[in-house]
Amino acid sequence: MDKKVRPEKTTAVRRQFLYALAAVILFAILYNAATYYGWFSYSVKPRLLNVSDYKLYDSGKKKIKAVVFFGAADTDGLKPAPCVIFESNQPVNEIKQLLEKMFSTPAAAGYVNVIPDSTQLREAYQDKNGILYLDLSDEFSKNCKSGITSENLAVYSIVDSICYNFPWVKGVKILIDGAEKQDVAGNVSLEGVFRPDMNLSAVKL
Amino acid sequence: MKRNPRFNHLTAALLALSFMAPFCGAVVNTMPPVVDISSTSKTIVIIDPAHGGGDYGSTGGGIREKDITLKAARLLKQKLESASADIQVFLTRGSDTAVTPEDRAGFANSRNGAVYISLHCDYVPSASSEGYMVFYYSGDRLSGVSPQGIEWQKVQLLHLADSTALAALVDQYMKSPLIAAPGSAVQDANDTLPLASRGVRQSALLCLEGVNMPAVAVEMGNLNNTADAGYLKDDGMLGRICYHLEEAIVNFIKGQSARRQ
Ligand SMILES: [Zn+2]
Repeated sequence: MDKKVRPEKTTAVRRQFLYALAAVILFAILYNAATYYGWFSYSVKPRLLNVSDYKLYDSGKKKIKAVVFFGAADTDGLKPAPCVIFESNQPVNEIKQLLEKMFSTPAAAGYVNVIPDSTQLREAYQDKNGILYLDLSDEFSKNCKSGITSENLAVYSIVDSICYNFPWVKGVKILIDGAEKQDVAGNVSLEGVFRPDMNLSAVKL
Repeated sequence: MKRNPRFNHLTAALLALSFMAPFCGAVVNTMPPVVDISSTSKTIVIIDPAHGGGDYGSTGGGIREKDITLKAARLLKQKLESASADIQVFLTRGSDTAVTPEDRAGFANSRNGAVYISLHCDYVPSASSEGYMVFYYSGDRLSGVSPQGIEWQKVQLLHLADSTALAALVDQYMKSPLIAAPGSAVQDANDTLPLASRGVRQSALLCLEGVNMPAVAVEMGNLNNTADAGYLKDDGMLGRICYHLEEAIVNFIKGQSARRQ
């Protein structure tokens, strides 16, 4: 028998090995591509808060007068509006009530909606340095109209409303779906901690 | 069975390549192009046509921000280079492609730019709000500056004074009547833009934070406002807007070199 001719059995085993190898390589490429381009995600979304949930965050019937900042219909800035929340043993729970009201209240005459549609508060928590971490649903970013002004108004409507009513909050860090995101909708960076910008409403802090 | 060493090497290389493929992609995407800056003594101006590719930016009045910014960037480059032989202009994108903010900043920084202008079209939720607005980077944030120094990706914080001056100058030239450029669409001797000024504002802008030179972003109009969208759709008007921007940039460069002498 010629030395160069391989036995048939060996060729078949080698072919099977090559097929298996090709399958492994293909899987590796697809898996890496899927992870890199985010075709699937492992994150488990916590339960979203509902409008009625803010009742869970008060601890009595004592009302607190608050001010929230909505978009002004006649300028490119924000405009204050009165709002009532209930006192809570946990200060951060008062913030949750405030945001729930802001997110669920349609714009009245003289105002425009600047919070992107269907935005929901997933969680809010504070650290010992007075930084409030706000975890918002991805609609905040997905439904925000791209544009420096629309993105700024979405951010500062929230930041100014919180800092105006709760002076212990020194800055607000916005997270989307539990993670840091680079920008709101292509222009305004979400990487840092926001301090209030009262120039947008000409209201003094 | 005797193993074929060439086959083993090939297998190992293929396996390694398949696992490393995504990382190779990331490296290719973020590397700024290499350029020989020593060959020019000209003042470099970087124009950034914002958005591009799948990122349309704002939309309204039948137009997309990414198209207007590219058209305006080309016009502005032409005007700047014919205004002064000492100015050389680079665009951060020359076609309808997506470029990351890091790549845009890297491109500008590697060319030693003297001025960076990012062109945008705004979307203001109030449809009655009209006009352009000039932005410079907001250093008014708690992050970015630490006792150890400034984070490299927020290097724009080093240029805030110059960027503030540039923003004020751009606003001033946009709202002032200028002697009409030869061959411009203006019938009058003076060219006054019909766009209102919404002023100068600070913002935490992604397009500016990594830029290592005086930098501003100009929102040339509100696409949610019918009049503004109409102006930006009109090539003649876009040319006039770019003429005002060109004059502002040329005067900023003159001021900078006068201060240096
Ligand atoms: Zn833009």
